[in-house]
Amino acid sequence: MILGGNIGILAAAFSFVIGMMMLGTPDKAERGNRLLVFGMILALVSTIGIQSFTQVEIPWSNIGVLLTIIAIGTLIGLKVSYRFELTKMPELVSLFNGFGGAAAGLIGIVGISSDEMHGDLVSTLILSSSIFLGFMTFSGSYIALLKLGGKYKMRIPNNRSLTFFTLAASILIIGLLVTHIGAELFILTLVGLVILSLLHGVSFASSIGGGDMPILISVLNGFTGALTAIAGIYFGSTIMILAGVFVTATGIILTFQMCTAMNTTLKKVIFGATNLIADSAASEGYSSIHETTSTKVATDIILMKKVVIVPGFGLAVAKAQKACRELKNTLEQANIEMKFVIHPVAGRMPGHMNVLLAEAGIDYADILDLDKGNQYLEEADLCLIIGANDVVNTSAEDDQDSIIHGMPIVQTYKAKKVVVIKRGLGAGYAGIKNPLFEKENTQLLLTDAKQALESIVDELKQ
Amino acid sequence: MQETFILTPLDGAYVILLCILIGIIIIKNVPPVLHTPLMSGANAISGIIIIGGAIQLLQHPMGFNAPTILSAFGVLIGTINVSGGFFVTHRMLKMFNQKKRKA
Repeated sequence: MILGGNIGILAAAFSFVIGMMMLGTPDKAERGNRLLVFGMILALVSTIGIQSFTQVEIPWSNIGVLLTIIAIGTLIGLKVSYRFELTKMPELVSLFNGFGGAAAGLIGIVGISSDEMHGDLVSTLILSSSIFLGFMTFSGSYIALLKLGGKYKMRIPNNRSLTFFTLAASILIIGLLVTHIGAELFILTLVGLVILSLLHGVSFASSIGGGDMPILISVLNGFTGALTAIAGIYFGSTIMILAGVFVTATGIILTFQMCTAMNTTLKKVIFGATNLIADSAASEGYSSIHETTSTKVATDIILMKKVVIVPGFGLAVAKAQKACRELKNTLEQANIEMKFVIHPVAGRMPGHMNVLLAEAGIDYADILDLDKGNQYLEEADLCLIIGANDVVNTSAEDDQDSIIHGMPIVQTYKAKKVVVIKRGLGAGYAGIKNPLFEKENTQLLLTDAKQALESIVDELKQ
Repeated sequence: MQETFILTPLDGAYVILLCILIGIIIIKNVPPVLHTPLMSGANAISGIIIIGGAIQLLQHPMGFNAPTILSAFGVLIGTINVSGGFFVTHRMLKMFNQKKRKA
């Protein structure tokens, strides 16, 4: 039975490797996800099996309780994941990541208290750092969730010192726990560690600008991975190490890819350099803009041959993805070609826009990446920018002093005409002015994206 | 539990090293389209930490005591992480496949 369990674990590890591989190719991704689920179930069942058979008596009641808890958790996960709209996907990933962190923290607490103060150095170190990382991820993810929804406005005074203090104090407490100093105050030190970790998560996440939230989520995801891997060493479970390292690798690679796409470095993101400049160089007023109406856009658009849509976070906020699809259908009937160009970091997460457009049923082939899109824009007649700002900001190319200088952008100015659909003239997440809006061939349609698109479609149908 | 998974720290180091290599090779070439599903899938996998909670729950005698309640709660929210993560990933990926069937 124990041999069977170990073979099960091996098979689960194999499923994880193949599943992750398949998750990276568009055609096989869905099956890859199923394989991951299979691997997870197999890993759990095998572990329960091995654990039960190594004990003197098979703890049937414990197994029953455990399975019930797992069933309840699965149901809650199912409910929560289907209650959110797809526009809220980044929030949801953040929420679940926080749950994972808290789970790791609790498991760490149980482990360390059952050893009391007699655990060996390595175990105590692993458990106490898993408490720290776990609770820090929990509160950090929660702040990220609030910031993504634009609900978090709090500014902590001396935030950087608080981040540093909570980190230093936590390391000190971990040191106390490992060296068994002050064993009589065990519970108190443990509670202190939990509180400090939570505080550290809050201040760490607060210092990161709203536009960098995807990077924060990716970093926190990497933390949970590292946490799982080190907990795997404590529990002597290879599958935990394997899965944890995989997640860490994903976290690290995605973090760096996103940083490159946003032309920033992890150091800048964490120490908030972008933030400071953004505050001082906040967007000034625009002097010469050309406003337009949806009627005018509709009369223009019908004369075009090639139309490009550049979506941004505003599209997700306005839930305008279905209206995009309608516009595309209407234009196709009039033999007008319409393509979408998606910047790698459009929206709040890489691939966020792709998911939304896919939800609206827009064909994969009509969505272009940055390179192909910029080529296509050269021959495009009209470019509709929907709720995007920083990813089309021309100062990234023209203004040496701009904080986003050097960031690759969607070169919308190449199109013969540009129409920007935006709710207002406010700055994007980088907090800077966009010279594109003042260009001669740029027109602004300052209204809700969904309404604008719907009225354009209505006009076209008449 | 230590007798069943015979794993010395050195073995652990080898496992970690090899996994890092495999992980980097697999994830490096994933197109940006799949980054969100990948992140949420990876997030679901990291919930495998519940295995630790499960081991703890099986070791301790059941009862209304702090360790049991804490690890039970840990397993519960960990499972929410796992199942929620997988369902969200599934929902996203289904979107991609839908139109492929239509086309």
